[in-house]
Amino acid sequence: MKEHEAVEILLVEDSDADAEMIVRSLRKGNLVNQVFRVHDGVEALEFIFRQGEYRERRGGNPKLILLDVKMTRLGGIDVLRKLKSEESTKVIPIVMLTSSAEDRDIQESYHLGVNSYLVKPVNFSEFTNVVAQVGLYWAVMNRMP
Amino acid sequence: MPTDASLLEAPARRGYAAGLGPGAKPGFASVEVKVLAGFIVAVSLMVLGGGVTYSTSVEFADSVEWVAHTQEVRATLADLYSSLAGAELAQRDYLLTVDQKRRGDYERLVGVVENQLAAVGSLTSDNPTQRENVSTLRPAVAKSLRAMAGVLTAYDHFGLEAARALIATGSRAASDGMPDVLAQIERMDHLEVRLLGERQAISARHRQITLLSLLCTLGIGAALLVWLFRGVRREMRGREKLERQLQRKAEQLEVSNKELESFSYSISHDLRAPLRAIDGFALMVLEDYTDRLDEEGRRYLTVIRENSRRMGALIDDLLSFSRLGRQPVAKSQVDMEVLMREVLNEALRDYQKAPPTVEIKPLPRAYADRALLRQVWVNLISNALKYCRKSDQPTITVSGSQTDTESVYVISDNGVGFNMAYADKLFGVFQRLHRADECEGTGVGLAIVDRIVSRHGGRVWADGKLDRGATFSFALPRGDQHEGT
Repeated sequence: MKEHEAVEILLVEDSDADAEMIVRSLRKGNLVNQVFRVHDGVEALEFIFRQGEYRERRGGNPKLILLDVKMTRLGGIDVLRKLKSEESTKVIPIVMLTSSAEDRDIQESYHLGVNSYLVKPVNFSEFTNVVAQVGLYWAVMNRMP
Repeated sequence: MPTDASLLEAPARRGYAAGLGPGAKPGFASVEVKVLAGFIVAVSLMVLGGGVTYSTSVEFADSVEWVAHTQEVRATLADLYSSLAGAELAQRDYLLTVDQKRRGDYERLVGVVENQLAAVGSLTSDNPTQRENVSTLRPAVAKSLRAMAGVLTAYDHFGLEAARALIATGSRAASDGMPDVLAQIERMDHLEVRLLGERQAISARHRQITLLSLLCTLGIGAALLVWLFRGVRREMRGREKLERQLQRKAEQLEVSNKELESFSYSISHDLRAPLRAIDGFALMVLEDYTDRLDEEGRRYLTVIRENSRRMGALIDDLLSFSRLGRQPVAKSQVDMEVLMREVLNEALRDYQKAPPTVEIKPLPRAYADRALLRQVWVNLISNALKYCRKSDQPTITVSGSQTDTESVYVISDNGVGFNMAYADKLFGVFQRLHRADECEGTGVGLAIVDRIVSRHGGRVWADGKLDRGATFSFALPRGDQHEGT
């Protein structure tokens, strides 16, 4: 579990293709070594709260969570609600990534305290730039309390 | 290819709120006509019945008057005879008692007799038989009065014996006239009794007719009102039922509309993910394997990316089209000229080729949702720029006008135009009159325009000719009277 120690960006994404593209984009921003990917909301919560498979995980909270909205088992909004309601996790910056912006989701996310809400562009070049900049800003440049 | 002049000239119009428009009215109008007709018939019949009743009641009153008249004639005849007999009685009393009061009575009654004889004459003047009878009665009365006067003269000059002799002679020879008077009065009275019988019969008949006519009128009126009431009640029940059905249909429609919208939304959403992968992985190949691909291989990948980009635009448009149905319309006063110039400047900034000549005429203000109207102008202007691109001297004209009820906005170009035969296809989703590689665009833009305008209660239409440019117009209800609502 050595890789867990260095995790700075947690990517919660159920689509392998999207995950691969996001990782590639982050790599362009030289952030790839610090990314760990989980496949849905349940796994994300297990990772963060060190449960199940991640009981033995060492290291602290990730510096940034990239959270997909629509996922199997547990969706991004529910994960967001849980994390922002826990004292130990509510300061972790969370950026929602979604295929299309539904007003209701955006409003609920901001109500729950999301830090940013991004629509994944279809155009990959644009997508790469956006993801790299988001990773760079929140994981590297932003100072947390 | 249809080149029918009427097809070319007729503008393609799309009416909205069809369910609320004139098309829905005939059913209601016919009920109003029925009710009105029912009332007119009822009122006419009652007026007619009232007229008949009035005229029969006038006849009845006439016949009653005739009966009274006959009875008056009879009473006057009786009075006449009793006055004459009274006069004779007073004269005889005077002869026996020499009471001057009785002589006064006699003289007074003679005057009364004359008056009553005149009254009988005037009362019976309408009847020829009675007129003849009166002419016989008059000398008989005169004769009897003369006989009485003669007896008194004999008394005054020769004493009681002479008077008595004269009376005896007169009654023996019946020359005092009294029997004639009595006989004539009885004859006249008999005639009046016969007339009375006839006139009473007529009066009774008139009374019956009047009563019957009154009852008929009231009966018909009541029956018509009952019929009308039942008819109206039936109509109202029918209408209530129809309204309930309509309400149910509207609810069902709303539900299926919502389902359809959320369906198209999630479809669009789910389509974006694989599309992103197609574009992303095509780019990865281009980036990572560019040295192992020849020119043709790179071109294929570029075509894949170009098409995924186009499909992405299509899905985005479809998403915003689907969102339009759910988004509330927030109306305010909009300066259309400012809004249009704003959109036009943005569009021209991104325009690659030599800018077209743009002519802008004054535009009326609108009472509408600014953000939605902005989308209307974005789509119409990009449409005009797109299709005028092939013209040598591209020109776009924007103008506006106002009627009592609507503000109309018109944008024309001198581009490729279209055949009016296909005008009704322009505003449908994914309806295109030009191939995608001929002209960019997703085929949703005008459908969005159509939807926004219709959500404002307006209408949109197009005019055009092939290779002679196109004109798109939309009309919005005027907001002046709606301000503040």
